[in-house]
Amino acid sequence: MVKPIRAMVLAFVLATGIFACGIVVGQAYDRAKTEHFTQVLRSQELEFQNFLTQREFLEIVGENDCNAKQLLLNDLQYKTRKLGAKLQGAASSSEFDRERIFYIRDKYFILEVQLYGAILAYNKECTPKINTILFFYKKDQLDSLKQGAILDSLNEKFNNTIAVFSLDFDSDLDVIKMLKRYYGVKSTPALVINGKAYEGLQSEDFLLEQLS
Amino acid sequence: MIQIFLWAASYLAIYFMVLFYLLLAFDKDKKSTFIRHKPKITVIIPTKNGEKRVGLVLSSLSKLNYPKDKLEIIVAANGCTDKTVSVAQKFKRYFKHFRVYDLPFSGKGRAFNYALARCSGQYVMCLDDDTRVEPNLFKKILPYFVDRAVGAVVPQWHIENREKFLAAIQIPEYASVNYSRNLLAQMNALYITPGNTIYRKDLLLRLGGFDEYVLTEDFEIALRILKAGYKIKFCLEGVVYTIVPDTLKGFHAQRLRWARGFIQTMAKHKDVLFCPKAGAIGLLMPLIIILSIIATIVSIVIIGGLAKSITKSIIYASNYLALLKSLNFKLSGLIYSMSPIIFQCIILLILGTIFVFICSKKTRMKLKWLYMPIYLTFYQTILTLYWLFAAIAELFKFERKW
Repeated sequence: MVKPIRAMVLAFVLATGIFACGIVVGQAYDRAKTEHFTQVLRSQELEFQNFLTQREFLEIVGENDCNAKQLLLNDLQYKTRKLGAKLQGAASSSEFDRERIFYIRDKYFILEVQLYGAILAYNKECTPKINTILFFYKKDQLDSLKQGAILDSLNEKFNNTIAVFSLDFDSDLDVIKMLKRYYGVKSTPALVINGKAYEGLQSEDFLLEQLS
Repeated sequence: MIQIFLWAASYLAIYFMVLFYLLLAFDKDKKSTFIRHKPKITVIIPTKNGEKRVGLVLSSLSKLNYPKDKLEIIVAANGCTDKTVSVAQKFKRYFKHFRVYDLPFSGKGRAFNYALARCSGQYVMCLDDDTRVEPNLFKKILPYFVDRAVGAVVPQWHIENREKFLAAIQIPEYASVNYSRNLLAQMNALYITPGNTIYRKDLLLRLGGFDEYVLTEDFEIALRILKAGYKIKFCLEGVVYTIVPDTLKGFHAQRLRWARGFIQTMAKHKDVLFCPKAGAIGLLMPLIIILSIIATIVSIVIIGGLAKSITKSIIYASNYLALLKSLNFKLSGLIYSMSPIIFQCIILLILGTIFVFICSKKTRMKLKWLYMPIYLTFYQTILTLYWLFAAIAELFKFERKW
């Protein structure tokens, strides 16, 4: 007969070893994820810096190429939105690298606001104007989820030319608090469409009406 | 908080998997030794309204490769309102010692005890009425009783109705359970003597027979056998074929009864936990209970998460195009949104699949591989929920149904 204590202790040692291997692989995976997002964010920050520098130079030399600006801004906001969708999932699933991934997410929110500012500046001097929507959401809130789906569908109809910036209502970032205060947003979901704030879930028809 | 439960559940599950692999490594294929002596064996078949089933079991008993004069068959028909008694009586001519008790009361344990007090065999088999035995069963089982410390011997359970969908999903479960029991028996930690077990009659009488009030008398008696210092052995060579529930209603009733019976029995035998006299089960049982509780919590979270995802999909489905786009978006982002615990799950999945495969080989139960993904994921999750249902049923004292 197998000695029970011996088998159980041996199983404990081996199981701990296997479990530890799983943790090591998990840690490596979390780190690789963070590394990936750091790279993507850096490259987008670089692109944005590139855009700002170009704009500054053109202003100095007195040229204003609205078409080029529009293309660049559209491309930037689309890439940023794509990054955001992945980042949201990564932030909620990260176990071992939470601080870094939250830091990246905060940097992403700041990049979004910077981009939003750049589009507002573009809209002041160029036509056709780029439609902007600030979307304040709460994680795991059903209405926020519905609003997100409606915005996705809407943007599809506009060929992804609406600049939608999703911002976490509960974020501690001062810049998000400032935007909430500026537009008077107190609940979620909330949309700021071309500068005008609407609270509560908004239908696609309503949004189409506001954008047309 | 839930993360802690997830990690704890994965650790305990890996622990049990590793323990079984270790026992597997120590396991030596044993062949039954031949014994010349043929003791008298009583087979008690407790049945309630089993007119459609009792014929199957009696017919298989009539083909047993065992001296007729050493075989006593007792049908303990309890609370029957159908033709069970008359159907059973028709088999009288096949046996030398054959009795049918038409008992006015219900209850498997009570009916078994009634027959136990009146039987003459040296060994007693409690046989479910939905079961068929193989002809050489007793020849394979009896050698285990050469060891005076063996109180009961459990044969393998194979599935008779394996063609039915719900039954087919249970094949890997029965294969794993059969072989795990064989492995646990090696360290004297087999803690259940399911229907179809053969007992020493004198031991059963000394222990007072089955508990007539718990829902799993087979689990309860096993703990008393272990506490009395006896061993429970598993006979891998001996096979009985049972009809498992193949309807959702039947399956639900059976699993709820098993889970409630487990809770009742453990409440009665709390002293087994950490009890050295109970052997390895005294150490294993607390771990089994902790794993069951954690796995239940994890399952609730998983099912809750699934419900949330389905709700999300329905919301997205309000616009078909958006659904397609979002799915595309999500799939590409899936690699980034996995929790690192996925690696523990992958380890478990690999260990579990290989273990089921080994079990199917050792128990000679042919798997239906198409059902394996359902078994390893959905089925296991649902099963753990029965601990929750059973706890609620016991807490609010719902009617106990056999």
